[in-house]
Order: sequence, then C-alpha cells, then structure tokens
Amino acid sequence: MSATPADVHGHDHAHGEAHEHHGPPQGITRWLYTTNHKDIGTMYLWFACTMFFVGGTMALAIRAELFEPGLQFFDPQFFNSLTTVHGLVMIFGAIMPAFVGFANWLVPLQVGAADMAFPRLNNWSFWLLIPAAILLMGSFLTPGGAAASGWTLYPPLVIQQGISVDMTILAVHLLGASSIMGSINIITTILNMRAPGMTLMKMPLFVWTWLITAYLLIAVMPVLAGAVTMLLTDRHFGTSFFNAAGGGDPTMFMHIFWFFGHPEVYIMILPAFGIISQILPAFARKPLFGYASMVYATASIAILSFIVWGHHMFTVGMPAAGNLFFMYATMLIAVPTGVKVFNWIATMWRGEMTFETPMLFAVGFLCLFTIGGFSGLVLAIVPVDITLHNTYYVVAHFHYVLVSGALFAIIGGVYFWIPKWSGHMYNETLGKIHFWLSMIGFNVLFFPQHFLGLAGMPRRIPDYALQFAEWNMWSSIGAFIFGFSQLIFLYNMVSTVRGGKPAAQKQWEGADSLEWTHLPTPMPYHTFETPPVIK
Amino acid sequence: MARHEPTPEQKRRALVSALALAALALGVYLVMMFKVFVVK
Repeated sequence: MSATPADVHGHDHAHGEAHEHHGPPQGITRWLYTTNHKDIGTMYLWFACTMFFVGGTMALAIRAELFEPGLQFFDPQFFNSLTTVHGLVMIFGAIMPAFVGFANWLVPLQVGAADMAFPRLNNWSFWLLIPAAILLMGSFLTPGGAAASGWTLYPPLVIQQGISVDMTILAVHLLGASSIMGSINIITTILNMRAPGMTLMKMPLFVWTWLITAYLLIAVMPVLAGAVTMLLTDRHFGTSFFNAAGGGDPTMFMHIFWFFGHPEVYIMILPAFGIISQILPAFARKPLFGYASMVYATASIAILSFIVWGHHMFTVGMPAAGNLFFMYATMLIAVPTGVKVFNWIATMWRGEMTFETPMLFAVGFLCLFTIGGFSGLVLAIVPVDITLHNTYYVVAHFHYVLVSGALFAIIGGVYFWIPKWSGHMYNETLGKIHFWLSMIGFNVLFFPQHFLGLAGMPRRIPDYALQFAEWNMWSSIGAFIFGFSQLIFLYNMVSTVRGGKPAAQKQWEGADSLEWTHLPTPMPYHTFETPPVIK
Repeated sequence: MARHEPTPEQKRRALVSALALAALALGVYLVMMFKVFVVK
C-alpha cells in the first residue's frame, strides 16, 4: 500500500474531541440501535467469540466421547447432533461472523470512509444472527434432538428427522440473508466510499480479499438458500426433489450443496489471507512482496472455486471424465495459492522481523495452513480420495485449513488490531503462552487424525475399533490443551478491553494502513468525517 | 459539528450498486427455485 499520511491527522484529533460530548449513547440502546461500524464490528466479534466457545464445548464433548473405544457419555444420535451443530456453529456462527466483524471495523477505516454505505442495513445484518443462533441451539431441545445429518444436511436422512431440521433450515435462511446484506454493504462501501486518491490498487490486501469474498457470498448464498428451501418443500409440501422414494435424486442435492460449499471454504479463508497479508509486512518491516500478484491470485482462487465442487463427491459415481475434470481443476488452485505462500515468504525474506503474538500466529498460519493445503492436494487425487473419503484424514485436512488457517488468522488479527480498537496493549507474555499452547495443542489434536484416516477410521462415529484407540487418546488430549488454552485468550482480551497499558497511535512499527497512520489511539467514535487525501 | 454525510453522488451510486447486487442475489435464488414454482 502506497498511501502516505496526509494533513488530516490533526484534524481527526480535533474531531475526536469535538465528538466526545455526543459520542455513543449509553446502555443497551447503544448496541440495539447502533449504526456505527465500530460498534457493529465489536458486536460481530463478541458474537463470534461466544459461538466459538459454544462450538468448542461441543468439540470437547465429541473428543471426550472419542477418548477411548466404547460409548462413554452420549448415545449415537446425540453424538451425530453434536458433530452437525458443531460444524454449523463454527462455520456460520464463529468464523464467518468474526470476519464480518473485522470487515466492519476495518473496511471503512482502511478506505478512508466515515462509515459503511448502509449503516442501518448493517445493524439489521447483525441482529438477524441472534434469532438464527437461538433456532440452531434451541433445536437441541426438540423431540429427537438437533439435526444429526452432518453440517451438509444431506437427504434422505435430513428429510426423515423432526422439527429440529426445520429450525436449522430457518436458521440457515436467516444466516444467509444476513451474509448477503452484509456483503452488499461491504461491496458498496468499497466501490463508492473510498477517500480521494484511494484507488483500487492502493487498497490494503484485507480490503481486496473482502471485496472478492463478498462477491463470492452474493453468488453462492442464494444457492444454499435455494437448496434448503427445496429440502423444506420436500419435507412439508409434497415435492420430491431429493427424495428417492418419490422419484427425486439425493445426488442432486450434493451437487447443489457443494456448488455453494466449496466457494464457502474460500469465503472462510480469503479474509484470513487478507489479515495475514497485513500482519506479515508489519512485523517484517517490509512492504508486502508482489501486491498486484496477491490481488490477482485472490481473484483466481475465487473464480476457480466455482468449478471444483465435484471433488467433495468423487464416490457418488460421476463419469470418469467428470472426476478427472474436478481433479485437475482442484489441483489448479494450488497455483494461485502457491503464489500467495511464495509472496508471504518473500515478504519475510531479509526482513527485520520481530515475533510479537500477532506475528507468531501469522507464521503459525503459514506453516500449518500449508500442511492443510498439501493434504487437500492429496485428497484431490481421485483414486486416493476414493480410499480416504469420509475418513479422519478429511477431518484432519479441513481442520488444518479452517482452524490453523481461518481461526489462527482471526486470533492473530485480534492481537494485531486490539491495541488500536481498545486503546490498550494486551499482555504479551500471556499472548505468547496462548500461541504456544494453541500450536502444540492443535497439532497434537489434529495431526494424529491423518494417521487415523489413513488407517481407515470413518468420521462421524461415536465408537471405533480398538486399533484406533491410541491416536484417538492423543487427539483428545490435544483437544483439551487447545480448548482450554483459548480461555487465556479470552482473559487477555477482556482485560485489554477493560484497561491496561495505553497503546501507541502506531503500535506496530511496520503497519502502514490508514487506521495506523492517520488515526489516534484510541480512535474517536466517528472517524474520517472529512475524508483523508491519499497521495 | 454535524457528522459527515456521503455526497449525493456517492449516495446515488451506492444505491445503484446495492440494487444491482440485491438483484443478482435474488436472481440466483429465483433460478434455483424456478423448478419449484414453475416446472413442478
């Protein structure tokens, strides 16, 4: 990013003071009615944090059950509900809202806008999440328990279950509507509200990745909505789109679902790429290597994500030509992804690096996400995938992508920006302890699952054969280390928000986007009321 | 001091962008649902 501080710096100080007397309203109404992008970003992040701990508790329940062979705590139906709702909560309740929270906080600041283009729509996007979460979690209380079909909601199983599936379908509709409204807001803000001189190719990578992600969301969320609406009509209105008993085709649901589902994977990882592309240059004290190629690689990944959905269903009996197409198309994604990994390493090369907590999480992301990418390439190979399909190898693969990928980027991003957001510096020692416990716990949790998958252990089962016992025990031990270490993060963040050492305006020496160069710390409630001029 | 408001031109362009994107999303959904409402 080549934007330089302009003469608006002192101006914003003045505005900050001028607005103290009519800053945020007090009490609950501040949060209910707020149209301020910072408040809404904060609410998204706390919502995501809450759902992360809810989904994480389910994960620990799953790992407790799998600690040793035999049924310990849960009946199989409840175990399947746990895996289903854990997936839905983590994807739609934790990872996606966390990135929308980052977008709300950062997109207006990084393009030099006063707020999002449609602040009231922004408020509505957030508050739709609450009934969706209540529906999803409330479904556990219905007769028969929560949906137990896996987060993919495959028919015919999902057509046979009780009212919990209807609640899940309604929740997915609400979450989809929220995502679409949020995406419209983000795209509109980026395209129309940029400060003078902030050309598209001067925008920070985080803004670019969100621009592309928002287009992906608008393209595929309606597809998911259509699929689950058809499930609803199959369940209650006499249609048989996916019900083989009435002449329907369950495989069609898989095609439609994964046409949404694979771009969804990139919806969860492209903003992570953006965050990492902000953190690495800041701590390497060098500009991002290959800025333009990073933008083009992000767009390439997004476009390719539309033509690879078949690799999730190599075992359904597609023609060989179809399998080959999806295999090669999937492998092609390694090219732009490799460009990104190369550029991140080149950014660090001969940089004056220091390893504060955000940088540790960024480097951790780089190492572990790459492992997840490689296991994805392994799974892209049709004959290998036919062997490994629905085994723990797949579980290991996507957790390397989504936990050490998306989640590590989110945590690193929170550590990176919380000094700016709160005005206080977090506890660095606790941050480093959190990182190393997460790193060790994560690898002890998920690396053995590669071995379990290669040995043939199927996913989504509450009991297993004796030969899988040892690695499952290690995996569960890792889960509890990883899970409980997140409480350190929670404590560190809550105590940072409540007080602590004041943070500098530019807490990180190498940070160069507008929020660091143009705005004081802590930021005033309203920022960039006069747009900065970017040279 | 009054809060900064987007210029009328920015507002107009933002509205046009938002409507186009909403139409895109609705269009994708309606194509998906075509079979439900028409073909069936």
